[in-house]
Amino acid sequence: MAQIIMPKLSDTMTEGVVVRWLKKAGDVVNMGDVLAEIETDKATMEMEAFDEGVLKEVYVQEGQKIAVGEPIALIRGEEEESASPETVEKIHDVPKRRIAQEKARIPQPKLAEVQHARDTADVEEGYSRVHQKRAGTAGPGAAGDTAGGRVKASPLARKVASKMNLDLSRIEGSGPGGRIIQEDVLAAAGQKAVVSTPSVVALPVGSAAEAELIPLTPMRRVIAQRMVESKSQIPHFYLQVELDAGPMLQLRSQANKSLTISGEGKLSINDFVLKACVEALGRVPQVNSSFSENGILRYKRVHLGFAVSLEEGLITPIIRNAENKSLRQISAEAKELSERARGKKLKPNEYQGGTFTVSNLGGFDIDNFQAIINPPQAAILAVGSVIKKPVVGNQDQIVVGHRLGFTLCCDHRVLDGATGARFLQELRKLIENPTLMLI
Amino acid sequence: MPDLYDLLVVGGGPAGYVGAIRGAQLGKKVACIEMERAGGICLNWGCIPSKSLLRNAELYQLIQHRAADFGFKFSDLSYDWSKIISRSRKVADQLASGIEFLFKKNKVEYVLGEGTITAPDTVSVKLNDGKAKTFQGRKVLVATGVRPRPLPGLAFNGNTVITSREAMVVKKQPASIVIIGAGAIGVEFAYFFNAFGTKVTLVEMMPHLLPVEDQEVSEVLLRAFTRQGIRVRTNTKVEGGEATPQGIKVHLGGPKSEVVEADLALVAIGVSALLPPGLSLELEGGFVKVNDNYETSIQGIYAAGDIIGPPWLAHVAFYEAIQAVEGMFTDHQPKRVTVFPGCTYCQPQVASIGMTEKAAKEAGLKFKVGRFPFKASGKALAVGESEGFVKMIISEPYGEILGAHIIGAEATELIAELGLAMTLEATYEEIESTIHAHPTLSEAVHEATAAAFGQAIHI
Repeated sequence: MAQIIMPKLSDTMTEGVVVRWLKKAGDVVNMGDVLAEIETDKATMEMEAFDEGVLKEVYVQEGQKIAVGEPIALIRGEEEESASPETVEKIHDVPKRRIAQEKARIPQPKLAEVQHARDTADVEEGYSRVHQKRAGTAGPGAAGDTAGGRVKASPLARKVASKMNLDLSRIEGSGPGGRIIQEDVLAAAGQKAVVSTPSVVALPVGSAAEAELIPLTPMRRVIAQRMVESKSQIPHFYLQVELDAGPMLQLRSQANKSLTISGEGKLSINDFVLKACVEALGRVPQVNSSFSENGILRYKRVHLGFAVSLEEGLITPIIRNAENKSLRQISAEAKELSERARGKKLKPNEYQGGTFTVSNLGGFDIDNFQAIINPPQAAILAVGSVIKKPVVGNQDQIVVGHRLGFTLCCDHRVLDGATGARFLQELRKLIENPTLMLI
Repeated sequence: MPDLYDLLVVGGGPAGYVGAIRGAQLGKKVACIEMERAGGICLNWGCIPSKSLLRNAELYQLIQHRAADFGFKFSDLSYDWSKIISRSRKVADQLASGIEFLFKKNKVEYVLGEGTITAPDTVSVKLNDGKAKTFQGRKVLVATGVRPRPLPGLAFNGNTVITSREAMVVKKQPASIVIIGAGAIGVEFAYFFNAFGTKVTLVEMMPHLLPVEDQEVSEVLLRAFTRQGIRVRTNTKVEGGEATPQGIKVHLGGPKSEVVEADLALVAIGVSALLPPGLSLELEGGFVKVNDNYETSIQGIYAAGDIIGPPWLAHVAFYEAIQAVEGMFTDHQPKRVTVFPGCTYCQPQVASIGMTEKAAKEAGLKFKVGRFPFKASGKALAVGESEGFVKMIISEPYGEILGAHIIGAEATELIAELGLAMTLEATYEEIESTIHAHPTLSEAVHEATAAAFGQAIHI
């Protein structure tokens, strides 16, 4: 018999919701059959069977939230079904059952694809040793291993972590023998180490009665955790520029005319920005990297992330290997990924492993803003909207300009002001001379 | 050129000898400079000899007042005061030689004399044999401890106004004694002298006996002491005193001012730092200021034990010394003391760890209280020790143990379980799901924990 457990589908996943059972108790299950749909903190995914037999029992109701590693169903092999009880309990069956358990999980994309560009061995020669070490210790495989192994943590720490939905295997312990204690969990949650007070919600006393407590969704929790981690650990600095978007707008309207005639999707301003970033990253590759204690990982490939806002938060789909893609390809992929992101249908390798991110609030009439870096990336580009305003022209005359505000938010551990500025200079060249992007 | 040591420890008490031995265990060359005798106050003039005296008191009180309950008959019960004192001295002596043996075993150089810190790496010692010697060390650990604080208007005279040190070797049993200060020392001596029939007046400025303990514990202790015949005056300030031909007159202030006459006055109102001569270290509240690594204001000079301030407890000093020394010589990040048990060895005994109910309330925490009286414990009834209770302070929502307070027989032994529980961050569930042997007094800890959630069986 094989017990199916709630699989760990992303490195930040601590629990999942069984959205829908596609098989019910008594159904015959073949290898590869979809058993259920699982909602994680990031996406809804299909869980396939890795065993054959009969779905004996379903432990979990649809809509129920289950911690990673907890059993959710039981599959009984067909030979077991017909065998006498004695043979089922044969001791030599045990290892087989265990293997079956191991296999009963979602067909995960290979480790390397799931996590990060650094896992695809795309790191420059000189850093390969570092890369291997990182992949071994911090990759999703490693995280999964720890989750399955024994995590030393105090009972109090366990309770607090489970209440806060934190994964203990990701927390470093400071107690006796490296044990995780309450303080470590609170620190990981970005809270001050107070003795377990009833969670200190800083509501003004008077309005407390009128406030509504919105429960945290898994996505909200991950955003909270990651942003605190980023803002508290990464020394951010910001470089702000205003570009002439006129030529780009012109090119775009020309291109879109022909695309409409041929019945293809139109290009958005963001598509141009994404393409410009890919080109600029090629020219200033320092920006396409990550900080690690062992050294700076410089990526050869550009896995370009772009923020998509959802009702309950946001997600950053990734255009993989964007350095090989044309403006049209980037545009088509971005459109397709955004649609699936809104439907929560992204696979982990479609939102994990970005090397640079673009966050565009142009659609919300924001002139310019600062973003928080998406770790472990070294920078994020915040894009505002195109604004018409008077500018000084070539002959010192006042003309109507179409201005676009960019802010590059950089990790100072990796990048210095001059490097960031060079990247913005390249971006300016590309945006202001957009035909360069087509070459 | 004087020998170069890795560590010079000034003071051989609980912080000093433990720090010296741990340093030696780490393979370091260590010298421990002690003015009097290794073991410090704890071993020579505090914790240990007083426990010997209290054992006498406890046995005598049991035999004298309760032998009949157990079916024993005596016609002529008496005691030999000098024997009581000398047993206590023998125990102290035996333990002090034990420390000297441990020094030898661990190759710690034991230097008898008064050390002066002349430079951050130099200690000049006026040896007890009259000679002088200078030691140089990479690190210096100051563990010189404290001495009893005198009461203004009632100076120590070694004769009628005494410290605990003199009280534990008093040659003739006093007919009466005024004890000023109802902390652990005052309370223990009050119990001791009263058990042997000395008329005891115990005076405390604060509203309760053992002011640091949970109020409920103090109240039970007050009832027990009153029943035993000790006269307790809380909320009372001593305004002065004067010698009389027989002893001493002590003026007690407050609304019920009075003059108490007694053979002796024992002053146990606190301690003050006993700073080593030489370089002056920055102080904080009268005690040596140290950082998280136990380093003083002077680089290379560390301090641990009573000298760095409250709580003035030997077991806290042991811990601090080990933390400090490991921090000096290994990559261990020293930890400061947060949770520690406190014990008072009168009868009924008092032991506690963590927060009192009042402290938890003042901190604004959400918590539950569980109590279990020893009179509901089978073992306590069987051994005839049904006085007192266990009280647990348990936080919500996680069931963290915030504090535990025990008054009753063997309270000081029972508290160990809760110390471990708190260090391991056990919650009420771990205590509740631990099988406690039956019948034992420790079941009361289990039941008090369950009682916080209305799940105690035997109450």
